[in-house]
Amino acid sequence: MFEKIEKFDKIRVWKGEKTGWHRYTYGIAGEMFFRKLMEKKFVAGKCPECERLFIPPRIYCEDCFVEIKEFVEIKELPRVYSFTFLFKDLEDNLLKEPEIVVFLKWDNIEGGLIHRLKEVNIEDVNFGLVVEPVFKEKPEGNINDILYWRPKK
Amino acid sequence: MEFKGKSLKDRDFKEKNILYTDWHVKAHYAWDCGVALSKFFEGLKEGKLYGRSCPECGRVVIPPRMFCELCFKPTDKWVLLKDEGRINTFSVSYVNTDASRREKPNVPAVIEIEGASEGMGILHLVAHPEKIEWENLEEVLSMIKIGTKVKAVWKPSNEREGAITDIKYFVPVKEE
Repeated sequence: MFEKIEKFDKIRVWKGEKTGWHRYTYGIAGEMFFRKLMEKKFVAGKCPECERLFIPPRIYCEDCFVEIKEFVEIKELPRVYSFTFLFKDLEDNLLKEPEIVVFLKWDNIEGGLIHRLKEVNIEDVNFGLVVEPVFKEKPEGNINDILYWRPKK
Repeated sequence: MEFKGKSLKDRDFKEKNILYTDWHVKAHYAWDCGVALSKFFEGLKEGKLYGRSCPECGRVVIPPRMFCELCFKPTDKWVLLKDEGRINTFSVSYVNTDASRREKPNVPAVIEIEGASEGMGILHLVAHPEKIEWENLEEVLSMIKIGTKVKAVWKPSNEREGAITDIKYFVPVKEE
């Protein structure tokens, strides 16, 4: 009773593509963070109640639920908190060299940054590795103003 | 406590008063046509319109489907239909699919295919029988009405690819 397609070349799919673009603005605290990043500086937001620091900064503390108005420059360097080796790109193509993606955390600061790690042997990547940023020459005000991070020299 | 937002103007982006990141999305998809539409598209490639009939209510549906949505029974026969029909509804449009404006209108219409049941039709364009392009609204209305008989104009067979665009457009034809 039910008809079936028995030849593969008779199976049809309709191929299409949907495009779109969106524009993300960073908000008050994010704007502050990236403006400072353009000056090669890192700022954290400081909660007036619990005095914890946040990177990326935000304008409220989610635990105390108070407004954050104070932003302080962080001069210390972060450490590798977790890492992943990527062997394929987003299109599933094998990469010539594996890429290293790290989550970086500063000691005693909430939050952290996800970024690339380079100039390092895969064997040397480990939790707690202190890293320093390598900046782009002409900053544009986004996270890629940091080209990548490398182990502190 | 009050957190004040800031409304942004186009100017703010152009003058770089505000930082931002743009992201372009490209989502590719492949939609499985299934048994009925696969045959329908194969048919288009051969310059044929296939419908499907329901054993219960006898309706002939186009575009074809493998079940009758009224009787909830599998449809059981392929029906070769004529490449002509009548206009069920139409629109005179001065807007392209990307929302850009047209100087001369085009006429998207639902065409009830002859041999299929009432109300069964496909959406396509209706063109001027000689000039193809319509001059203006008045010209369209002088030739097109609900119920006007139309016939498909096909691409040459070597250019057909099994898509609804294998029919270039429909044109009004004289009643016999």
